[in-house]
Amino acid sequence: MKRSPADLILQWRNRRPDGQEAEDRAAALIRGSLQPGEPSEAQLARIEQRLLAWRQRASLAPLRLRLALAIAVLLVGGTSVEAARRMGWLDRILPALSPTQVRAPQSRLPDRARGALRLAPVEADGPAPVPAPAPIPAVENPAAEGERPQHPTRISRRTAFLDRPEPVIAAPSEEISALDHAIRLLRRDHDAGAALSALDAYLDRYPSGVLNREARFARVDALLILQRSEQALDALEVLPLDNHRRSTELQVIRGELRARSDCARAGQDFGAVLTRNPDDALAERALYGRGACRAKQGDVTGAAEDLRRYLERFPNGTHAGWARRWLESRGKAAASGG
Amino acid sequence: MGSGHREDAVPKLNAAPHDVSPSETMDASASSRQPSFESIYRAHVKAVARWAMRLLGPSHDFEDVVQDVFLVVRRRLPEFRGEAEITTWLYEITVRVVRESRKRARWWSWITGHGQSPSRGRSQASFVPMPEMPADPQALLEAREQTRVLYQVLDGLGEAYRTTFILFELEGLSGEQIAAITGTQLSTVWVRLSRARRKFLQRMRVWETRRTS
Repeated sequence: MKRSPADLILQWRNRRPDGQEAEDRAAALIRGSLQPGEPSEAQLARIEQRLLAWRQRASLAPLRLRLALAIAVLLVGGTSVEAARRMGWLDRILPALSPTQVRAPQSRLPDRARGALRLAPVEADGPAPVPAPAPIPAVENPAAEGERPQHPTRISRRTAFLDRPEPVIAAPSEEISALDHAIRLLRRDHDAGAALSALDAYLDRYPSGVLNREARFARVDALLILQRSEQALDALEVLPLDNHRRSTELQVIRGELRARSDCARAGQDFGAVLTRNPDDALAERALYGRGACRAKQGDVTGAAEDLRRYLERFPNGTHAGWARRWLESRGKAAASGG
Repeated sequence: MGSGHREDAVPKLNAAPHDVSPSETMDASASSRQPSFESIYRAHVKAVARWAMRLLGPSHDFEDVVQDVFLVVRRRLPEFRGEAEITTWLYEITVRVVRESRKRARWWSWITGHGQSPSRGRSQASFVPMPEMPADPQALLEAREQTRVLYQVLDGLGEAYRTTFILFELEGLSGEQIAAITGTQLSTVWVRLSRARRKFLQRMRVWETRRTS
Protein backbone atom coordinates (compact mmCIF):
# COMPACT_ATOMS: atom_id res chain seq x y z
CA MET A 1 0.00 0.00 0.00
CA LYS A 2 1.32 3.39 -0.91
CA ARG A 3 1.65 5.71 2.04
CA SER A 4 1.17 9.42 1.85
CA PRO A 5 4.15 11.72 2.45
CA ALA A 6 2.51 12.99 5.58
CA ASP A 7 2.73 9.52 7.07
CA LEU A 8 6.36 9.27 6.13
CA ILE A 9 7.52 12.68 7.19
CA LEU A 10 8.17 13.17 10.84
CA GLN A 11 9.49 16.38 12.21
CA TRP A 12 13.12 15.98 13.19
CA ARG A 13 12.56 17.47 16.58
CA ASN A 14 10.46 14.38 17.37
CA ARG A 15 13.25 11.93 16.64
CA ARG A 16 14.84 9.98 19.48
CA PRO A 17 17.32 12.15 21.39
CA ASP A 18 19.91 9.38 21.61
CA GLY A 19 20.14 8.64 17.88
CA GLN A 20 23.47 8.86 16.10
CA GLU A 21 22.37 9.43 12.53
CA ALA A 22 22.87 12.74 10.80
CA GLU A 23 19.16 13.46 11.11
CA ASP A 24 19.40 12.90 14.84
CA ARG A 25 22.29 15.33 15.11
CA ALA A 26 20.31 17.87 13.07
CA ALA A 27 17.37 17.36 15.40
CA ALA A 28 19.65 17.98 18.37
CA LEU A 29 20.86 21.16 16.74
CA ILE A 30 17.27 22.33 16.29
CA ARG A 31 16.24 21.34 19.80
CA GLY A 32 19.26 23.05 21.31
CA SER A 33 18.76 26.33 19.53
CA LEU A 34 16.90 29.34 20.86
CA GLN A 35 13.47 30.38 19.75
CA PRO A 36 12.14 33.85 19.01
CA GLY A 37 10.92 35.66 22.07
CA GLU A 38 8.41 38.40 22.59
CA PRO A 39 9.29 41.69 20.96
CA SER A 40 9.87 44.30 23.61
CA GLU A 41 7.44 47.11 24.24
CA ALA A 42 10.03 49.55 22.95
CA GLN A 43 10.34 47.63 19.71
CA LEU A 44 6.58 47.48 19.27
CA ALA A 45 6.27 51.19 19.98
CA ARG A 46 8.92 51.91 17.38
CA ILE A 47 7.10 49.81 14.78
CA GLU A 48 3.81 51.53 15.56
CA GLN A 49 5.40 54.96 15.39
CA ARG A 50 6.97 54.24 12.03
CA LEU A 51 3.70 52.89 10.67
CA LEU A 52 1.89 56.04 11.74
CA ALA A 53 4.58 58.22 10.21
CA TRP A 54 4.36 56.26 7.00
CA ARG A 55 0.59 56.69 6.86
CA GLN A 56 0.98 60.42 7.20
CA ARG A 57 3.52 60.45 4.42
CA ALA A 58 1.34 58.15 2.34
CA SER A 59 -1.56 60.58 2.47
CA LEU A 60 0.59 63.07 0.57
CA ALA A 61 1.89 60.46 -1.82
CA PRO A 62 -0.82 60.72 -4.54
CA LEU A 63 -0.35 64.47 -4.79
CA ARG A 64 3.41 64.13 -4.94
CA LEU A 65 3.07 61.36 -7.49
CA ARG A 66 0.83 63.43 -9.74
CA LEU A 67 3.12 66.42 -9.43
CA ALA A 68 6.19 64.35 -10.20
CA LEU A 69 4.37 62.75 -13.12
CA ALA A 70 3.33 66.12 -14.52
CA ILE A 71 6.88 67.45 -14.21
CA ALA A 72 8.26 64.34 -15.85
CA VAL A 73 5.79 64.60 -18.73
CA LEU A 74 6.62 68.26 -19.21
CA LEU A 75 10.33 67.59 -19.14
CA VAL A 76 10.14 64.68 -21.54
CA GLY A 77 7.75 66.52 -23.85
CA GLY A 78 9.78 69.69 -23.82
CA THR A 79 13.00 67.83 -24.40
CA SER A 80 11.45 65.89 -27.27
CA VAL A 81 10.12 69.02 -28.95
CA GLU A 82 13.41 70.83 -28.48
CA ALA A 83 15.32 67.84 -29.81
CA ALA A 84 12.98 67.63 -32.80
CA ARG A 85 13.42 71.34 -33.39
CA ARG A 86 17.20 71.10 -33.20
CA MET A 87 17.26 68.11 -35.50
CA GLY A 88 15.06 69.98 -37.93
CA TRP A 89 12.32 67.37 -37.76
CA LEU A 90 9.69 69.96 -36.99
CA ASP A 91 10.35 71.58 -40.34
CA ARG A 92 9.54 68.31 -41.99
CA ILE A 93 6.67 67.32 -39.77
CA LEU A 94 4.73 70.57 -39.77
CA PRO A 95 4.54 71.01 -43.54
CA ALA A 96 3.61 67.37 -43.87
CA LEU A 97 0.62 68.02 -41.63
CA SER A 98 -0.66 70.87 -43.78
CA PRO A 99 -3.52 70.02 -46.11
CA THR A 100 -1.62 71.02 -49.23
CA GLN A 101 1.27 68.65 -48.51
CA VAL A 102 3.50 71.33 -50.01
CA ARG A 103 5.88 73.42 -48.04
CA ALA A 104 4.74 76.92 -47.81
CA PRO A 105 7.27 79.57 -48.74
CA GLN A 106 9.42 80.52 -45.81
CA SER A 107 8.10 83.61 -44.22
CA ARG A 108 11.44 85.03 -43.21
CA LEU A 109 12.98 85.20 -46.62
CA PRO A 110 11.30 88.44 -47.60
CA ASP A 111 12.92 89.98 -44.56
CA ARG A 112 15.69 90.72 -47.00
CA ALA A 113 13.45 93.53 -48.02
CA ARG A 114 13.74 95.19 -44.66
CA GLY A 115 16.30 97.50 -46.15
CA ALA A 116 13.76 98.64 -48.69
CA LEU A 117 12.96 101.61 -46.53
CA ARG A 118 15.90 103.68 -45.40
CA LEU A 119 16.00 107.17 -44.06
CA ALA A 120 18.71 109.55 -44.96
CA PRO A 121 20.90 110.79 -42.12
CA VAL A 122 19.32 113.71 -40.42
CA GLU A 123 21.00 117.03 -40.25
CA ALA A 124 20.68 119.09 -37.16
CA ASP A 125 18.75 121.90 -38.70
CA GLY A 126 17.84 120.28 -41.94
CA PRO A 127 14.52 119.14 -43.23
CA ALA A 128 12.77 116.07 -41.99
CA PRO A 129 14.41 112.82 -43.04
CA VAL A 130 13.22 111.30 -46.24
CA PRO A 131 12.98 107.58 -46.84
CA ALA A 132 15.32 106.45 -49.54
CA PRO A 133 15.31 103.09 -51.27
CA ALA A 134 18.12 100.73 -50.53
CA PRO A 135 19.25 97.70 -52.48
CA ILE A 136 17.80 94.39 -51.42
CA PRO A 137 20.63 91.99 -50.68
CA ALA A 138 20.70 88.54 -52.16
CA VAL A 139 19.64 85.52 -50.16
CA GLU A 140 23.07 83.94 -50.39
CA ASN A 141 24.62 86.56 -48.20
CA PRO A 142 22.38 87.25 -45.26
CA ALA A 143 25.12 89.03 -43.32
CA ALA A 144 25.30 91.65 -46.01
CA GLU A 145 21.76 92.71 -45.64
CA GLY A 146 20.77 95.80 -43.76
CA GLU A 147 22.56 96.99 -40.68
CA ARG A 148 21.49 94.20 -38.43
CA PRO A 149 22.17 90.53 -39.20
CA GLN A 150 18.90 88.69 -39.03
CA HIS A 151 19.75 85.55 -37.11
CA PRO A 152 21.47 83.63 -39.85
CA THR A 153 21.29 80.43 -37.80
CA ARG A 154 17.52 80.70 -37.63
CA ILE A 155 17.28 81.26 -41.33
CA SER A 156 19.60 78.42 -42.15
CA ARG A 157 17.72 76.16 -39.77
CA ARG A 158 14.45 76.98 -41.41
CA THR A 159 15.78 76.28 -44.84
CA ALA A 160 18.11 73.46 -43.86
CA PHE A 161 15.48 70.86 -44.60
CA LEU A 162 15.61 71.78 -48.25
CA ASP A 163 19.16 70.43 -48.42
CA ARG A 164 18.22 67.10 -47.05
CA PRO A 165 17.08 64.17 -49.18
CA GLU A 166 13.39 64.26 -49.73
CA PRO A 167 11.25 61.68 -48.01
CA VAL A 168 9.43 59.28 -50.23
CA ILE A 169 5.87 60.47 -50.52
CA ALA A 170 3.00 59.84 -52.83
CA ALA A 171 3.41 61.50 -56.25
CA PRO A 172 1.95 65.00 -56.05
CA SER A 173 -0.22 66.41 -58.73
CA GLU A 174 1.31 68.22 -61.68
CA GLU A 175 0.26 71.59 -60.32
CA ILE A 176 1.85 70.99 -56.96
CA SER A 177 4.99 69.67 -58.62
CA ALA A 178 5.27 72.79 -60.73
CA LEU A 179 4.97 75.10 -57.73
CA ASP A 180 7.25 72.92 -55.66
CA HIS A 181 9.87 73.13 -58.39
CA ALA A 182 9.64 76.91 -58.51
CA ILE A 183 9.89 77.26 -54.74
CA ARG A 184 12.90 74.98 -54.69
CA LEU A 185 14.60 77.17 -57.24
CA LEU A 186 13.92 80.13 -55.02
CA ARG A 187 14.69 78.73 -51.58
CA ARG A 188 17.19 76.00 -52.14
CA ASP A 189 19.00 76.92 -55.30
CA HIS A 190 18.78 80.63 -54.58
CA ASP A 191 18.11 81.21 -58.25
CA ALA A 192 15.54 83.95 -58.04
CA GLY A 193 15.53 84.54 -61.80
CA ALA A 194 14.76 80.94 -62.64
CA ALA A 195 12.26 80.82 -59.82
CA LEU A 196 10.50 83.90 -61.17
CA SER A 197 10.24 82.31 -64.59
CA ALA A 198 8.93 79.10 -63.12
CA LEU A 199 6.41 80.98 -61.01
CA ASP A 200 5.22 83.00 -63.98
CA ALA A 201 4.86 79.79 -65.95
CA TYR A 202 2.90 78.28 -63.11
CA LEU A 203 0.60 81.30 -62.83
CA ASP A 204 0.03 81.29 -66.56
CA ARG A 205 -0.79 77.64 -66.59
CA TYR A 206 -2.86 77.58 -63.44
CA PRO A 207 -4.41 81.02 -63.14
CA SER A 208 -6.99 79.66 -60.73
CA GLY A 209 -4.84 77.02 -59.11
CA VAL A 210 -5.42 76.05 -55.53
CA LEU A 211 -1.99 77.38 -54.68
CA ASN A 212 -2.29 80.55 -56.69
CA ARG A 213 -1.86 82.75 -53.67
CA GLU A 214 1.22 80.92 -52.47
CA ALA A 215 2.72 81.26 -55.91
CA ARG A 216 2.06 85.00 -55.99
CA PHE A 217 3.64 85.46 -52.58
CA ALA A 218 6.69 83.52 -53.74
CA ARG A 219 6.80 85.71 -56.85
CA VAL A 220 6.95 88.80 -54.65
CA ASP A 221 9.87 87.23 -52.80
CA ALA A 222 11.67 86.53 -56.04
CA LEU A 223 11.13 90.08 -57.29
CA LEU A 224 12.45 91.52 -54.05
CA ILE A 225 15.53 89.36 -54.23
CA LEU A 226 16.05 90.53 -57.79
CA GLN A 227 15.71 94.09 -56.50
CA ARG A 228 12.79 94.72 -58.81
CA SER A 229 11.02 96.68 -56.14
CA GLU A 230 8.50 98.41 -58.36
CA GLN A 231 7.30 95.14 -59.81
CA ALA A 232 7.20 93.69 -56.33
CA LEU A 233 5.06 96.60 -55.21
CA ASP A 234 2.81 96.18 -58.25
CA ALA A 235 2.39 92.54 -57.36
CA LEU A 236 1.64 93.38 -53.75
CA GLU A 237 -0.87 96.04 -54.69
CA VAL A 238 -3.10 93.44 -56.28
CA LEU A 239 -2.53 90.73 -53.74
CA PRO A 240 -5.16 90.26 -51.06
CA LEU A 241 -3.21 90.34 -47.83
CA ASP A 242 -5.89 89.19 -45.47
CA ASN A 243 -6.27 85.84 -43.76
CA HIS A 244 -2.85 84.53 -44.46
CA ARG A 245 -0.03 83.74 -42.13
CA ARG A 246 2.24 86.11 -44.07
CA SER A 247 -0.28 88.94 -44.24
CA THR A 248 1.39 91.10 -41.62
CA GLU A 249 4.85 90.59 -42.97
CA LEU A 250 3.83 91.34 -46.55
CA GLN A 251 1.93 94.40 -45.45
CA VAL A 252 5.08 95.73 -43.79
CA ILE A 253 6.99 95.08 -47.02
CA ARG A 254 4.28 96.79 -49.03
CA GLY A 255 4.40 99.74 -46.67
CA GLU A 256 8.15 99.99 -47.05
CA LEU A 257 7.84 99.86 -50.82
CA ARG A 258 5.01 102.38 -50.86
CA ALA A 259 6.95 104.73 -48.59
CA ARG A 260 9.26 105.62 -51.47
CA SER A 261 6.52 107.38 -53.33
CA ASP A 262 3.35 107.40 -51.30
CA CYS A 263 3.87 107.88 -47.59
CA ALA A 264 0.19 108.31 -46.91
CA ARG A 265 -0.69 104.81 -48.07
CA ALA A 266 2.50 103.44 -46.56
CA GLY A 267 1.44 104.89 -43.23
CA GLN A 268 -1.89 103.08 -43.56
CA ASP A 269 -0.04 99.79 -44.00
CA PHE A 270 2.22 100.42 -41.02
CA GLY A 271 -0.71 101.56 -38.92
CA ALA A 272 -2.72 98.46 -39.81
CA VAL A 273 0.21 96.26 -38.92
CA LEU A 274 0.74 97.96 -35.56
CA THR A 275 -2.86 97.33 -34.56
CA ARG A 276 -2.29 93.59 -34.88
CA ASN A 277 0.43 93.30 -32.23
CA PRO A 278 2.99 91.81 -34.57
CA ASP A 279 6.20 90.19 -33.44
CA ASP A 280 9.13 92.39 -32.47
CA ALA A 281 10.88 92.32 -35.82
CA LEU A 282 7.81 93.44 -37.74
CA ALA A 283 6.76 95.90 -35.04
CA GLU A 284 10.17 97.55 -35.20
CA ARG A 285 9.97 97.96 -38.94
CA ALA A 286 6.38 99.19 -38.87
CA LEU A 287 6.96 101.66 -36.06
CA TYR A 288 10.04 103.09 -37.66
CA GLY A 289 8.35 103.17 -41.08
CA ARG A 290 5.34 105.07 -39.82
CA GLY A 291 7.48 107.48 -37.85
CA ALA A 292 9.68 108.16 -40.85
CA CYS A 293 6.68 108.61 -43.11
CA ARG A 294 5.05 111.02 -40.69
CA ALA A 295 8.30 112.95 -40.51
CA LYS A 296 8.44 113.08 -44.27
CA GLN A 297 4.85 114.32 -44.40
CA GLY A 298 5.62 117.04 -41.87
CA ASP A 299 3.65 115.47 -39.06
CA VAL A 300 6.31 116.25 -36.49
CA THR A 301 4.17 115.40 -33.48
CA GLY A 302 3.10 112.04 -34.85
CA ALA A 303 6.64 111.25 -35.98
CA ALA A 304 8.07 112.21 -32.61
CA GLU A 305 5.51 110.03 -30.85
CA ASP A 306 6.28 107.02 -33.06
CA LEU A 307 10.02 107.44 -32.76
CA ARG A 308 9.84 107.80 -28.99
CA ARG A 309 7.82 104.63 -28.84
CA TYR A 310 10.38 103.02 -31.11
CA LEU A 311 13.24 104.01 -28.81
CA GLU A 312 11.36 102.84 -25.74
CA ARG A 313 10.72 99.47 -27.23
CA PHE A 314 13.88 99.03 -29.28
CA PRO A 315 16.58 101.12 -27.64
CA ASN A 316 19.22 99.20 -29.57
CA GLY A 317 17.15 98.81 -32.72
CA THR A 318 18.49 99.16 -36.21
CA HIS A 319 17.25 102.73 -36.53
CA ALA A 320 17.68 103.81 -32.92
CA GLY A 321 20.60 106.07 -33.70
CA TRP A 322 18.73 107.89 -36.41
CA ALA A 323 15.62 108.19 -34.28
CA ARG A 324 17.59 109.76 -31.43
CA ARG A 325 19.29 112.23 -33.73
CA TRP A 326 16.00 113.18 -35.31
CA LEU A 327 14.32 113.72 -31.96
CA GLU A 328 17.27 115.80 -30.72
CA SER A 329 17.16 117.94 -33.85
CA ARG A 330 13.43 118.50 -33.39
CA GLY A 331 14.03 119.40 -29.75
CA LYS A 332 16.66 121.96 -30.71
CA ALA A 333 14.45 123.35 -33.42
CA ALA A 334 11.59 123.69 -30.95
CA ALA A 335 13.86 125.37 -28.41
CA SER A 336 15.26 127.85 -30.89
CA GLY A 337 11.77 128.49 -32.30
CA GLY A 338 10.28 128.95 -28.81
CA MET B 1 2.41 33.26 -4.78
CA GLY B 2 -1.09 34.30 -5.46
CA SER B 3 -3.15 36.10 -2.97
CA GLY B 4 -6.06 33.82 -3.40
CA HIS B 5 -6.13 30.53 -1.55
CA ARG B 6 -7.48 27.20 -2.49
CA GLU B 7 -10.35 26.64 -0.12
CA ASP B 8 -9.69 22.94 0.27
CA ALA B 9 -6.12 23.60 1.31
CA VAL B 10 -6.61 26.30 3.85
CA PRO B 11 -6.51 24.77 7.28
CA LYS B 12 -6.64 26.78 10.43
CA LEU B 13 -3.24 27.35 11.86
CA ASN B 14 -2.61 26.05 15.34
CA ALA B 15 -2.51 28.94 17.68
CA ALA B 16 -0.30 27.13 20.11
CA PRO B 17 3.14 27.66 18.60
CA HIS B 18 2.40 31.28 17.78
CA ASP B 19 0.57 32.33 20.89
CA VAL B 20 -1.73 34.50 18.90
CA SER B 21 -3.95 36.98 20.63
CA PRO B 22 -7.40 35.69 21.57
CA SER B 23 -8.94 38.29 19.33
CA GLU B 24 -7.68 36.28 16.38
CA THR B 25 -11.02 34.61 16.06
CA MET B 26 -12.93 37.83 15.93
CA ASP B 27 -12.24 38.79 12.41
CA ALA B 28 -12.95 37.67 8.94
CA SER B 29 -13.72 34.04 9.46
CA ALA B 30 -16.06 34.79 12.30
CA SER B 31 -18.24 37.09 10.33
CA SER B 32 -18.41 38.67 6.94
CA ARG B 33 -17.58 42.01 8.53
CA GLN B 34 -14.30 43.44 7.29
CA PRO B 35 -11.84 43.63 10.18
CA SER B 36 -10.25 46.98 10.70
CA PHE B 37 -6.56 47.49 10.22
CA GLU B 38 -6.15 48.63 13.79
CA SER B 39 -7.80 45.54 15.19
CA ILE B 40 -5.62 43.28 13.06
CA TYR B 41 -2.53 45.17 14.08
CA ARG B 42 -3.30 45.04 17.78
CA ALA B 43 -4.16 41.36 17.70
CA HIS B 44 -1.35 40.07 15.53
CA VAL B 45 1.65 42.34 15.71
CA LYS B 46 3.43 40.19 18.26
CA ALA B 47 2.81 37.02 16.31
CA VAL B 48 4.00 38.62 13.11
CA ALA B 49 7.11 39.86 14.87
CA ARG B 50 7.88 36.36 16.08
CA TRP B 51 7.32 34.87 12.64
CA ALA B 52 9.60 37.48 11.16
CA MET B 53 12.29 36.74 13.74
CA ARG B 54 11.96 33.02 13.07
CA LEU B 55 12.20 33.41 9.32
CA LEU B 56 14.99 35.96 9.38
CA GLY B 57 17.17 34.56 12.13
CA PRO B 58 18.76 36.21 15.13
CA SER B 59 21.11 38.56 13.32
CA HIS B 60 18.59 40.35 11.15
CA ASP B 61 16.51 43.41 11.79
CA PHE B 62 12.91 42.37 12.09
CA GLU B 63 11.27 45.76 12.73
CA ASP B 64 11.48 46.77 9.10
CA VAL B 65 9.89 43.51 8.09
CA VAL B 66 7.04 43.85 10.58
CA GLN B 67 6.41 47.36 9.39
CA ASP B 68 6.39 46.24 5.76
CA VAL B 69 4.05 43.37 6.58
CA PHE B 70 1.48 45.75 8.04
CA LEU B 71 1.88 48.16 5.16
CA VAL B 72 0.97 45.29 2.87
CA VAL B 73 -1.89 44.34 5.17
CA ARG B 74 -3.21 47.88 5.02
CA ARG B 75 -3.00 47.98 1.24
CA ARG B 76 -4.51 44.56 0.68
CA LEU B 77 -7.10 44.63 3.42
CA PRO B 78 -9.95 45.50 1.04
CA GLU B 79 -9.12 42.34 -0.93
CA PHE B 80 -9.30 40.16 2.16
CA ARG B 81 -12.59 38.32 1.98
CA GLY B 82 -12.13 36.02 4.91
CA GLU B 83 -11.77 32.98 2.68
CA ALA B 84 -8.58 32.11 4.53
CA GLU B 85 -7.85 32.26 8.22
CA ILE B 86 -6.46 35.67 8.98
CA THR B 87 -3.33 34.12 10.51
CA THR B 88 -2.73 32.20 7.30
CA TRP B 89 -3.10 35.40 5.34
CA LEU B 90 -0.71 37.24 7.64
CA TYR B 91 1.75 34.37 7.58
CA GLU B 92 1.66 34.37 3.80
CA ILE B 93 2.40 38.09 3.72
CA THR B 94 5.17 37.72 6.26
CA VAL B 95 6.84 34.97 4.27
CA ARG B 96 6.79 37.09 1.14
CA VAL B 97 8.04 40.20 2.88
CA VAL B 98 10.85 38.26 4.54
CA ARG B 99 11.82 36.80 1.19
CA GLU B 100 11.97 40.27 -0.35
CA SER B 101 13.90 41.60 2.61
CA ARG B 102 16.47 38.85 2.37
CA LYS B 103 16.77 39.42 -1.35
CA ARG B 104 17.46 43.10 -0.74
CA ALA B 105 19.99 42.21 1.94
CA ARG B 106 21.77 39.86 -0.47
CA TRP B 107 21.92 42.58 -3.13
CA TRP B 108 23.22 45.04 -0.60
CA SER B 109 25.81 42.58 0.57
CA TRP B 110 26.84 41.88 -3.00
CA ILE B 111 27.11 45.56 -3.88
CA THR B 112 28.84 46.76 -0.74
CA GLY B 113 30.67 43.59 0.15
CA HIS B 114 29.46 43.57 3.72
CA GLY B 115 26.49 43.16 5.97
CA GLN B 116 22.86 44.04 5.70
CA SER B 117 21.53 47.21 4.23
CA PRO B 118 21.31 49.99 6.78
CA SER B 119 17.79 50.15 8.09
CA ARG B 120 16.00 52.88 9.90
CA GLY B 121 15.39 50.98 13.08
CA ARG B 122 18.10 48.40 13.43
CA SER B 123 16.87 46.06 16.07
CA GLN B 124 18.16 42.57 16.69
CA ALA B 125 15.65 39.84 17.24
CA SER B 126 15.43 38.54 20.76
CA PHE B 127 15.85 34.79 20.86
CA VAL B 128 15.15 33.03 24.14
CA PRO B 129 15.76 29.51 25.42
CA MET B 130 13.04 26.94 25.17
CA PRO B 131 11.28 26.29 28.48
CA GLU B 132 12.84 22.87 28.90
CA MET B 133 16.39 24.21 28.55
CA PRO B 134 18.58 24.71 31.61
CA ALA B 135 18.79 28.36 32.55
CA ASP B 136 22.49 28.58 33.35
CA PRO B 137 24.67 31.02 31.41
CA GLN B 138 26.83 28.27 29.94
CA ALA B 139 23.81 26.54 28.44
CA LEU B 140 22.51 29.85 27.15
CA LEU B 141 25.83 30.56 25.49
CA GLU B 142 25.80 27.15 23.85
CA ALA B 143 22.22 27.58 22.71
CA ARG B 144 23.08 30.93 21.21
CA GLU B 145 25.97 29.37 19.33
CA GLN B 146 23.74 26.52 18.14
CA THR B 147 21.18 29.05 16.92
CA ARG B 148 23.83 30.92 15.00
CA VAL B 149 25.05 27.68 13.41
CA LEU B 150 21.50 26.60 12.62
CA TYR B 151 20.77 29.78 10.66
CA GLN B 152 24.21 29.70 9.09
CA VAL B 153 23.44 26.25 7.74
CA LEU B 154 19.97 27.38 6.68
CA ASP B 155 21.34 30.36 4.81
CA GLY B 156 22.94 28.00 2.33
CA LEU B 157 19.55 26.73 1.25
CA GLY B 158 17.54 28.20 -1.56
CA GLU B 159 14.87 30.61 -0.40
CA ALA B 160 11.93 28.31 -1.05
CA TYR B 161 13.68 25.36 0.59
CA ARG B 162 14.76 27.47 3.54
CA THR B 163 11.24 28.76 4.11
CA THR B 164 9.73 25.30 3.88
CA PHE B 165 12.32 23.87 6.25
CA ILE B 166 11.81 26.60 8.84
CA LEU B 167 8.03 26.39 8.70
CA PHE B 168 8.03 22.61 9.04
CA GLU B 169 10.97 21.87 11.31
CA LEU B 170 11.19 24.99 13.46
CA GLU B 171 7.65 26.35 13.45
CA GLY B 172 6.06 22.94 13.45
CA LEU B 173 3.49 23.67 10.78
CA SER B 174 1.91 20.87 8.80
CA GLY B 175 2.41 20.36 5.09
CA GLU B 176 -1.09 21.60 4.36
CA GLN B 177 -0.51 24.77 6.30
CA ILE B 178 2.78 25.40 4.52
CA ALA B 179 1.08 24.83 1.18
CA ALA B 180 -1.56 27.39 2.08
CA ILE B 181 1.00 29.92 3.24
CA THR B 182 3.35 29.52 0.31
CA GLY B 183 0.58 29.12 -2.25
CA THR B 184 1.89 25.83 -3.54
CA GLN B 185 0.64 22.29 -3.93
CA LEU B 186 1.07 19.95 -1.01
CA SER B 187 3.25 17.68 -3.12
CA THR B 188 5.52 20.62 -3.85
CA VAL B 189 5.89 21.20 -0.13
CA TRP B 190 7.08 17.64 0.42
CA VAL B 191 9.49 17.80 -2.49
CA ARG B 192 10.92 21.06 -1.18
CA LEU B 193 11.17 19.72 2.33
CA SER B 194 12.96 16.59 1.16
CA ARG B 195 15.51 18.60 -0.83
CA ALA B 196 15.88 21.13 1.96
CA ARG B 197 16.64 18.39 4.45
CA ARG B 198 19.20 16.80 2.15
CA LYS B 199 20.91 20.11 1.59
CA PHE B 200 20.73 20.95 5.28
CA LEU B 201 22.44 17.69 6.24
CA GLN B 202 25.16 18.28 3.64
CA ARG B 203 25.92 21.70 5.00
CA MET B 204 25.70 20.51 8.59
CA ARG B 205 28.28 17.79 7.87
CA VAL B 206 30.59 20.41 6.38
CA TRP B 207 30.22 22.48 9.52
CA GLU B 208 30.85 19.43 11.73
CA THR B 209 33.98 18.59 9.76
CA ARG B 210 35.30 22.12 10.15
CA ARG B 211 34.55 22.11 13.86
CA THR B 212 36.36 18.84 14.53
CA SER B 213 39.34 19.79 12.38
